[in-house]
Amino acid sequence: MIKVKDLSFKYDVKEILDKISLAINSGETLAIIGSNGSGKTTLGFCLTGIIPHLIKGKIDGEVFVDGKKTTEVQFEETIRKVGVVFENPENQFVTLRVKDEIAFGLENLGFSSAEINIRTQEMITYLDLASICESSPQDLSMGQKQRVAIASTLALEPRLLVLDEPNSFLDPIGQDYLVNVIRKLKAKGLTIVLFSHNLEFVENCSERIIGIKEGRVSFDKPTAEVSNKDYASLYGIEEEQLAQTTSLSIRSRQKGQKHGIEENASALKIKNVSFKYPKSDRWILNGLSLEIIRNEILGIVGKNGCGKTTLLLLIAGLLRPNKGRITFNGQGIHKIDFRDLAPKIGLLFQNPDHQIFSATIYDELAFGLKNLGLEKVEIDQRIQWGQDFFELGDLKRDPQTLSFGWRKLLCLASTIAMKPEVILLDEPELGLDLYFQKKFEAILLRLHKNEAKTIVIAAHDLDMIEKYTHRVAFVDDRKISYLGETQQVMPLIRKYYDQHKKRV
Amino acid sequence: MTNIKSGYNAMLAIDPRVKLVWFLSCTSVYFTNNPFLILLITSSGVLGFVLSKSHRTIYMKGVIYISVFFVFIFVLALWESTEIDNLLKAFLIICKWAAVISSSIALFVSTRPFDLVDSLRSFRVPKGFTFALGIGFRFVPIIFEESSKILLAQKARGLNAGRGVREITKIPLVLYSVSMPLLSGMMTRLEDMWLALKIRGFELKKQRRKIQFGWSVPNIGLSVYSIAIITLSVLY
Repeated sequence: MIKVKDLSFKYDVKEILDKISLAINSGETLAIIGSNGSGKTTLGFCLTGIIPHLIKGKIDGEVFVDGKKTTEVQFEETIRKVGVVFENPENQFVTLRVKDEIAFGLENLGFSSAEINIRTQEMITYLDLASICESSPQDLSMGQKQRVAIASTLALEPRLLVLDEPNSFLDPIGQDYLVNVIRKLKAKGLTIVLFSHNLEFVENCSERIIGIKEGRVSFDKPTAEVSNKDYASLYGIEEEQLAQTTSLSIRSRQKGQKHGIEENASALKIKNVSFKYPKSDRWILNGLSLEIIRNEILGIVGKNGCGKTTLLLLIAGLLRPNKGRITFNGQGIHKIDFRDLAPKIGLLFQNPDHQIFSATIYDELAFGLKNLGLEKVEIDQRIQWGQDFFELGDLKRDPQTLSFGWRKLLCLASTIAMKPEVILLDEPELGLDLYFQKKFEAILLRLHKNEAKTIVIAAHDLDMIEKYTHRVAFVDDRKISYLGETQQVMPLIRKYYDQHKKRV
Repeated sequence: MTNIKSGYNAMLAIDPRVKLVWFLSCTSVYFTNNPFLILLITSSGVLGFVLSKSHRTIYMKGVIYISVFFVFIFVLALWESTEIDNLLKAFLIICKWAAVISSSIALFVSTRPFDLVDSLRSFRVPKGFTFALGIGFRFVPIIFEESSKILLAQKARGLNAGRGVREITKIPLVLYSVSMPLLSGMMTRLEDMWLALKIRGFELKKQRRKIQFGWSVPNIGLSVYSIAIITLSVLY
């Protein structure tokens, strides 16, 4: 179906792809993996004809779709064969109603009204969108948004579907649903190319995996033959790091530390907290109670939209609960002055681009410290510590030129430089490749062990939570459903997800 | 569309294009000086406001503030002159404002943005304009959501422009720290959206589908009334 021969691509002077050759067979499900900035997305753009038709650069080599060179055919001809769903489905919605979004491409390609209605209805039924077809895409959950984006692409009946990081924002139920959708599409005979960091997801869906490293093909093997050695060499990490399965709580016990946390020393107490956003009737949290123990690593898990992020914002004092009370070291957090609270409770947001605005790494690190009113000498000392601890390199560099992983690390450094006692992390591994995931995990363990920080992690990744937390809280139905030691609670959470997956 | 939970909302049953014509009939109040027509149009606007249950929305606050302003203007007019002609003129000017404000609120409260865009398209309003309007409607909530997230992210690092004279100096820093990530995020979104448009064959020049008119008594009745009012306003 697709043949790539000696493909090289440059934006200005920066070489992204270097003599890549590969073939994608009709009806195959193929995964392309690689670290952040390895050239995966650029390769995806080349396969779909976006390069050279929409994005210009210096291109060498050839890409054939159905035997025709993408450079020699009209873009409209290519897009009738190839469909793309981008990483963040929100960014590709242009209309204000799900039904219109599905019909959008068909209208553009000049299909008749009758044909548009038939195909739109088919997609609504096929991807189970009937209950939301009149809604605005903005109001949907991430899983539903992903399905709408796939439906709007599939409506054009492409023969090849390219999915860029399709599971990034999905909870385990959404991911399972997506795996089923992909299998269903495969059974229909569609050729699917997946770009993803999530190895478990990739192994579940694909028959063949291609690893891309620094713009070149590192390996090209059937999924069953890809080993940990291949992954380790692709992401530049040790093989043992991949194989590590022992959880933190078990390791702490083995060392006889009894979970490595100070028993009965509460850092934060959340008592009967209820919260809803202004002008909304929907309670996000209702009567939630939780105690966070000093020097523990606590995991918070739950479905998309269950209120994990809201809970972190409440703990950080950035939102005020409608009912209930949150105390930090025995004092109500809303009685603590804002400038005093920021250096005590640090919060890392999901998207680093919500935080970064300065022209240099130095300024970005100094921003929070200046807000605290620290002296220049103290600021410089802390920045120096941050530079060494996080291996940030040249402090004069523009943060916008860093890769996603480094930008996220910079945001964490900027939060940690304020020396908070409690660190709140919202989906810390979202969008990170394996190299940065391992780097992040190592940093968190060092912070916990050497700096005695209390860490709260809200995430979808159950494996990561299981490995790196002492206790887990599961948020469901606006309150904590399960709370306890990771080893005891995780089986219950997994069982809950399995039951819901079956229901979905 | 503002979420209205209880009670029957009569304006929802009207075809969006008819509502658009009705809104035009309310704005045509500026073409006429006939007191009877002005009162009729104002009543129609206020009726639309009530029927759409706009008084149960946050817009009611705005209406109250504007009403207070009008009362103030009216008192000023009384101060200047107590002649009946001048008072009548002031009253009719206020009526004109009331007609436009109440009808525009009723239109936006009872019409979903995409219906409005489709309606404009069916009146042969240039596609570039309706498309830009649709994208605008799509982006407005995103901009608000993103700005509040960015502001929280900066607040988490101790940025806080509180109250008081000394805090005013921090406002430029707050604006800068929010606007830079917002702009760069919006650029990324626009780039992605542009690719998503192109990959689904979007060309501004091409013809897209048409929407069907709902032939019902309220639709036909309101259309006839609106066209008659526009004609009378222009003539008298």
